[in-house]
Amino acid sequence: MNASDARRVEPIATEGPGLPPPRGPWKMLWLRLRKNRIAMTGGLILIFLYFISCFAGFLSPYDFNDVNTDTTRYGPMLLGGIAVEQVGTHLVEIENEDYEWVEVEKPEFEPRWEWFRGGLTFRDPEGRFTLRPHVHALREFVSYDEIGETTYYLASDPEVRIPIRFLPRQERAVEVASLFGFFKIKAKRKLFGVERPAEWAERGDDADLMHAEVFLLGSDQNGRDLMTRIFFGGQISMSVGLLGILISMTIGLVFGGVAGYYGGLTDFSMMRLTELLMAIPGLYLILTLRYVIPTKLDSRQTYLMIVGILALAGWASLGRVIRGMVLSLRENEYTLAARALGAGDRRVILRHVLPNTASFVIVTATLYVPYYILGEVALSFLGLGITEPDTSWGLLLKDAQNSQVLKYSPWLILPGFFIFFAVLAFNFLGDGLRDAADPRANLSKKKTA
Amino acid sequence: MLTFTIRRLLSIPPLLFGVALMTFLLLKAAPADYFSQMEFDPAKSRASVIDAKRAAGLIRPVSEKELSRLGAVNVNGASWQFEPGRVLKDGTEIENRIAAEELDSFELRGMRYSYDDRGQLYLRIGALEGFGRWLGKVLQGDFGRSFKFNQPVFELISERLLNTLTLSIAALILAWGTAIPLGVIAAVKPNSFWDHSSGFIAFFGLSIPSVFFALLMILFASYTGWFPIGDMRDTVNYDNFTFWGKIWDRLHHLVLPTIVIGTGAMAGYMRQARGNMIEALGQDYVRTARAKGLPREKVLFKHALRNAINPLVTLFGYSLAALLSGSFLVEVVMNWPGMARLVVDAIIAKDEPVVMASVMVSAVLLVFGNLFADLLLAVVDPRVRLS
Amino acid sequence: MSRLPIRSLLVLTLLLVALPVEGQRGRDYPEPSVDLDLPVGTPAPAFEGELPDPPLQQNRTGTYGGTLVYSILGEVETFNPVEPKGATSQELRALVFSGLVSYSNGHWQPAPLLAHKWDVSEDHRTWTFHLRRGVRFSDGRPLTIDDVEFSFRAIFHPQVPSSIRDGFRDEEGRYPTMSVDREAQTISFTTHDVDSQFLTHVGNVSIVPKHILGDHLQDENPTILEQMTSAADPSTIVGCGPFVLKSYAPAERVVYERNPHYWETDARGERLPYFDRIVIALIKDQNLQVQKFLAGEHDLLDTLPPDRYREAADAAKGDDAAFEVLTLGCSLNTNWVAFNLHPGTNPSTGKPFVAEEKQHWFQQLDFRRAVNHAIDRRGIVKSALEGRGRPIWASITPGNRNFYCKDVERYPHDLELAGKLLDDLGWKDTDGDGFREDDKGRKISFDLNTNVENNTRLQICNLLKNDLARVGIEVNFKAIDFNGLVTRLRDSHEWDMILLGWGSGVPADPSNSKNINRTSGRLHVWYPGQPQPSPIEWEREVDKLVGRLDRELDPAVRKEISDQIQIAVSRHIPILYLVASNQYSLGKKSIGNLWPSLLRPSVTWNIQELYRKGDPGTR
Repeated sequence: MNASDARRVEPIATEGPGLPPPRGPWKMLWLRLRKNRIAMTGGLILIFLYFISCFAGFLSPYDFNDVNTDTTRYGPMLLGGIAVEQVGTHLVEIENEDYEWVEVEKPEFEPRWEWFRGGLTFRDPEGRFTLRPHVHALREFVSYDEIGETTYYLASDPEVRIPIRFLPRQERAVEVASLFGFFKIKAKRKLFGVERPAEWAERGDDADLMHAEVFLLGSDQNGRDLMTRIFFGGQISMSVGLLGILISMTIGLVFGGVAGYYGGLTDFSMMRLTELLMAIPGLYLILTLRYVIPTKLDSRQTYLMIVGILALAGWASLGRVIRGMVLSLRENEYTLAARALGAGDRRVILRHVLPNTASFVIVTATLYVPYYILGEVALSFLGLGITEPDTSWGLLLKDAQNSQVLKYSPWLILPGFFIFFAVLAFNFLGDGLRDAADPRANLSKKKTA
Repeated sequence: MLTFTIRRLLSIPPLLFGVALMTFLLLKAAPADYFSQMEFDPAKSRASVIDAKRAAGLIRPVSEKELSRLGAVNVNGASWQFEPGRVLKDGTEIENRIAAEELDSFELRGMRYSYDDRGQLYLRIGALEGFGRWLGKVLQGDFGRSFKFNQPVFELISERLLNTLTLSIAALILAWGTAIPLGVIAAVKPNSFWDHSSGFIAFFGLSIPSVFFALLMILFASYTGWFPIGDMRDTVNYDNFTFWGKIWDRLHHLVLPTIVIGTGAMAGYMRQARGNMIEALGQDYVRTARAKGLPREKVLFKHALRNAINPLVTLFGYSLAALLSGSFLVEVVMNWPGMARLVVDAIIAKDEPVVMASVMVSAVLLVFGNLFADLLLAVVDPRVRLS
Repeated sequence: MSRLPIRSLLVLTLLLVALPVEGQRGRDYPEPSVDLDLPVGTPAPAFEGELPDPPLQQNRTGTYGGTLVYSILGEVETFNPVEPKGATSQELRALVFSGLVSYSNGHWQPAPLLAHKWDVSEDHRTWTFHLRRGVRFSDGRPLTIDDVEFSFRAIFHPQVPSSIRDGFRDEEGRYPTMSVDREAQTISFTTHDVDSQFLTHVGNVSIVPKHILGDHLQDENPTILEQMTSAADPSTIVGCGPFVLKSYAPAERVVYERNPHYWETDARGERLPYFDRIVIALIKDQNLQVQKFLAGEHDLLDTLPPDRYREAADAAKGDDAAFEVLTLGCSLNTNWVAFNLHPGTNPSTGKPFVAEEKQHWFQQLDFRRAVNHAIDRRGIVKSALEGRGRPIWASITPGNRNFYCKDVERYPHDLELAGKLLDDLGWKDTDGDGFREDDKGRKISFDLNTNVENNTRLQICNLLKNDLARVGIEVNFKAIDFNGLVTRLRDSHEWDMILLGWGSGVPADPSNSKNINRTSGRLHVWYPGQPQPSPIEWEREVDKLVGRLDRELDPAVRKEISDQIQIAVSRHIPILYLVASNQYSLGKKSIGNLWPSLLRPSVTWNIQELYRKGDPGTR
């Protein structure tokens, strides 16, 4: 964890015999960053997460809201499956088809998790080894306890295996790639999926209780594939940060730049505005703003508004820091020189002042992204963020917020790990960037070089 | 420094005015009010909802003069005309009670009118008018009564404010108390076991969503039995404890929430402390001091650490800002009877007096916190001149 | 317990699952038994004063002592009994205050309390209540008919915003007249109309001490509601209920102690209550509430959410478990969707509340029938309620033992029938996008709203969206906050389809829902503010029935009328009742005299009779 250890950054020779001419500052930044293993790990994690969210449609076997009331809460097939055994029968009172209450003998089952059995398998329906992955069929069981309360269990049928098909054809063109749910590309293929075997139709009533599904990371309480939900959720969770920082940074730059450069009354009034925003605790500001959003917007618009709110509550401090930087840059020799040469205000701000804040901007941006990701989680926990049927990691984690879920369907906390790693990765990368962009690192390097 | 302080103090009242105005307008911009939920209770009549709204100062009766100025209006396919003492529907006079039932509640030219069952018409008070009324009362020292609890807001806030401050300050102490030593050790011995493990804790605390962390802690408490499951003190026996027993009980309850809030905050400070220390250690005067042959400890603590801490003071000032609302999610999940919980509920339910009063309290605390941090910085760092 | 081979098991399950199972009805728990040999124990604090004349004896036995600990979800808004705002305040009110009449959740019928009897006149309009003599408030002062009169005057005071008063209003907005006979210690009320629910309304009024609140009922701007708030000094909260408030810590707990002057007695003539102390923890997060009970911190949990049943039932397995799950059967609370059938226009904008094409669809009975047949209620029960609930077809669920009607129209899940109904309307998918177009070529697509705070409702909405998509109807589901939703429902009327639920009051009487079924009712969601009399024929009929129900006292006739209302609504389905979940409570086995009931509060309604088995002094 030595990401910010400036002294470890290896000096890079910029002069000397046989070396290419000195590189630009961005190139230098990249070269230094590349040496930082932890930052690069963070970067790779981020690339992976952005990849799965962009290609969520193609990589996942379902659509993000394919509810199925028959296939709720099945465990992750990647790791195993669920088997049930009958533990007894009970005489329970239920209502029959004539709406009369009758006493009937009903079975009680108990589910059991089996590691690496009952889930993904490399045996074909006849039991021979094959390279094509198969999944077991799922079967419904209704269990009655001694007081007549019912519980639905799904269990794998060890005898029935279904092949996973690659690049299966879809009935309709579905989203295969998109940029955070906005620029959708549609096609009629997905990476993989399973089909309900046609021969099941001959099994009669029994077939109604059998299901062919592939839930690599398990299914949720509405019978949706968790992996699909997570991949699609990434479209929101991974973009909240980027969009949010983009908005707040833009406001902060414009505001800080103008205030710092012009000074005087402009500066005074602008700074009072930031103080006003900063004097209200962020959470209260976000919540009051949240209720102002019109309820008629569709989910995409609401999402954008939420990001906007998070950004609105977050830009003030950025603006103040940038103003401070601009204040000092304004008095720099090269700014004075530019002005002496007759450059207009806009040119001076855009060409000479703001570019010098670039390294600060990039580092801060990276380190601020987690604030938005975690902000979305907090809002979703309160039910004020992304709502069903849309999906985001915060929303998915909210569903796992009780002890029964943790006890009986622990795989539902997986989205929490995605949040954790995304935030971690941003911090790693941000730390590395800061080290790489640190002007003092430059200084010490020059001294040693 | 005195002129600086005075100038800052003078800027506070307009700032508070701005905060109040903005918060009030935002609250009013939402379509619903506190009594909307009451309207959905089948047991409550129109009259009782209207009475409650009027008592809360959200609506006011419309005078006959104002009524007749409305002229003829078209509601639900019929033309209505209000005249002093009577209502005309499509030109024929209609009983007030019937009119009330048929018209119920309607919107005209941006104003919302509602009838009670007695046939009296009310007008929803607009945002600016409402703010004027609120401000007028506040200037007389009356912050109003909570709609929900029907008691003066400050009575309501004060105790919970104390609870929240207890938790936040404990978390602050934990965060700073661990962040600085760990950061310094990590800086002095980079790449050591200490550096790596403190870095790990820091990143862990930074990356885990606090609601989830809090839930894990609750489960931890209920499986091991080592810590109480939520709460601020023992529910059943607290009153029977001795003085020390009470203190112990409170501390025992404080541990888990403090860890949840403190770890997240600690990470940022620790990285900052480490960075500053590394920077300070690289400075010329430290090298000079080392070269002079001063003992290592002395150099570390006297020269490097003092300089490394200065930027942290500013950060400390900002961390005061989170004192009041930073603990909110943990308060909910771990049942801490704090203020953030109260305020968030109030915002959601639109309990305006509570929201306004608590935002004002927070803003005051925040402004003074920042002022305090600036002054503190001037005291510890002689290079800073306040003007 | 050997594991059966899967194959043989299949045959078994096949037979059992094929049976159409609807679900449960209410489960009645027997009245607790009497054991005259139980040790009596010593009450601390001890009782003071004499018993009233005539005394009120309950057929219970128990042992004195100990502390009962349970939790409530929410916060105390006020301790003031004149206007107890939320459910929490109402529940807590019953600990400290009593009314003339009480309601026994165990028997589902009213019972005498401060009034030892009541008479009704021939025309059913004059009610006379006879007060027990010698009852004392918790501060030792006698409770007389003056206090009773004062309490009712407080309720009827025009400037006291009190929702309890609403019950007494008749349709013309008139209140009953009241007269007091100090000699006989009786109070009589004369209503303008016969009111079938009069006892309930009287029972809602808590008797408050005139010697404490007497000065606060001024003619102008009465300050009575500012007394006994949650900030009040506990010693000023004087009532005549089984307990007195001892201390209150906001958002933490409320502590009660036995009222030494309480006057009910048990089967042995010993005075109630048995518990010395009650501690109620105030909790905000439901997960934590369950968690704390399971960890053994609390003795009772009034409501266990259905999605936590499995965890609790597992923990209650075995003989050494400290608590048991009390299954109460089908809850009285409903979930429903309604269509906006409001034909009016918004006076501000001049646009119709519901767009013309949607109005065209929603008004078709066959469309609503098709939607009803398309909804897979059992699927909803299976996933959103984890199997613990049942489909319902009317506002009164099978849990209601007095008013459940099984002859309402049912619309079983039948995609083919739903499709056929839509086909017959001429609404078919003409452009191949999977959704139908109506006879004018407009895609059938509308919004569905629910409130975002309720997770189960969100799930149900999602399932509905899916169900309706299967018959070619596009539903755009969007959750908004509850207040915003109510604003839409009540003020702007701009919604298409909405999913919400009704909770049931105590008693669970259909008259309590008249605000819903009557066309002039405030919560006549599908078409509020109708011209009077209603232009819709069947609604006019329902209006008449609701009026009759209000004025009818004979239970058999009332059931008949209630059935007719439900059948009429189920035939015209402006509102589609969907599912009701099962209801559960948790209670420690060491608590005696538990008599759980579907009516809330389920386990604490007879709190003065509860006691701790064994040696109560241990806690």
